[in-house]
Amino acid sequence: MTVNNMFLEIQKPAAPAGARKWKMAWTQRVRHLVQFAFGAFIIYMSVIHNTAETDGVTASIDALCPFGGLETLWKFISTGGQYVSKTHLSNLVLGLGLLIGVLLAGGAFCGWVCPFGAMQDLLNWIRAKLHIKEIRVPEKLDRVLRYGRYVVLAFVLIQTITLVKLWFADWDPYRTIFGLGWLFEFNPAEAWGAYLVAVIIIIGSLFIERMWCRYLCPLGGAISLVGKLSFLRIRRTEEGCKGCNVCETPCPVKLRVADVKTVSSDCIGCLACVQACPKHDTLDVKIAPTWLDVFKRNRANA
Amino acid sequence: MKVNPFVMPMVLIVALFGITLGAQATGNWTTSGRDAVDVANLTAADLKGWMTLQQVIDGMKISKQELYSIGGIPADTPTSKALKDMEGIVSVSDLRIKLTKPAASVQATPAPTQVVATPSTKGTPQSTAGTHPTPTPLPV
Repeated sequence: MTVNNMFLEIQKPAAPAGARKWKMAWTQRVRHLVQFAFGAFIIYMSVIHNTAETDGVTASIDALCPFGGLETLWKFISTGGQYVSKTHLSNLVLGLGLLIGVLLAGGAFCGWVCPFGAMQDLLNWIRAKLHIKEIRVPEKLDRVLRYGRYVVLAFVLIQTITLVKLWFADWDPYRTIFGLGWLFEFNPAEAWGAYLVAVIIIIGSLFIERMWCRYLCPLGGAISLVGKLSFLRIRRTEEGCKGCNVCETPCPVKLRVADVKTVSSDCIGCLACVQACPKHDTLDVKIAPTWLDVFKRNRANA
Repeated sequence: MKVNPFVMPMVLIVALFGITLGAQATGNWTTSGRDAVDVANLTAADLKGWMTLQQVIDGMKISKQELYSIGGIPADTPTSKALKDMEGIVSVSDLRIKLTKPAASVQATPAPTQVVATPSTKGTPQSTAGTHPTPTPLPV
């Protein structure tokens, strides 16, 4: 691309800068509104569960977690219908809903629905407001640390299958924070491990954007694996891209966007990159699963 | 094929809600194990965290002393206490395992029937103590 061409592109943007900025803010506002709605719902359910006078009539947040479906799946299959303690049919239903959702739309659950993701976005907003410097994890280290999610996922599943109990419940920061046990039944003597993990994750997420999602979340690991097969993917058209890297700046999970054809399955579907891209028809959500590329390539070679 | 970016979250939310509402409409939605359990006839595998010690005693047809002995539960623990509130002493999973073996032997020998007949699920230590005049000593 010549300097002249670059100048022409800047002179003739696909949309007025003001309009694009407003559109971007609007998209993210809708996302934050949806996140708030799901977060408020979980907190409401948690409050009525903690304040219910009769035990067992209100749903705990354990029963409303799709990851519980994955944790209890082995016992459900191997025993012909029994669940790991604290999990129920609702976990399997939500797990199935999420599986179908991820196969269709990738990791949008993490960016739009998960209350723990929303909390981390809030922490990042607070960090920015307080002018605290963000810690940027070096790319090589970041790549290695991302495998942490799979390690946690494997460890949690092995422990759950071996011990036949919801082992992760004692450590899960999402459960600790949104279960509101710290508010209604503060018990550091018994739950100190859970509190410690939650505090570490909160402090970590204040300095490293979406730290839990990027490096430790077992559900995120499972979503990333299944998301490789998803129908909807964010794709970059190389011909239109001018290599400005603007798309990578707002990514909450720090993915490479500007030099890939398809954004990784670690994508949380927040759409910030799509909205940030200054050129139309360059970075878009497309019905274009990556497995179709392999299929087409094999067919062409045959 | 390019689609509106909002299709991505919309599809996910529709899938989540669609499956959930479908399950609720067809009666395949439970958020508690309470409905699935016959409290009057429990097996060790049926034990849930929300059950009180008295419900376990009644449902499994064992004496208070046996339950406390097997579970290593302090003698002064009220039978109105829920199993989930005793995770520090004995977890529900451990109690299930511990009760699985004795439950078979308990059925072979007649258990004190007075306990079985107790209708209340919110019994107190005093009320059940009267039904067992010779309590067995608890392990140290």
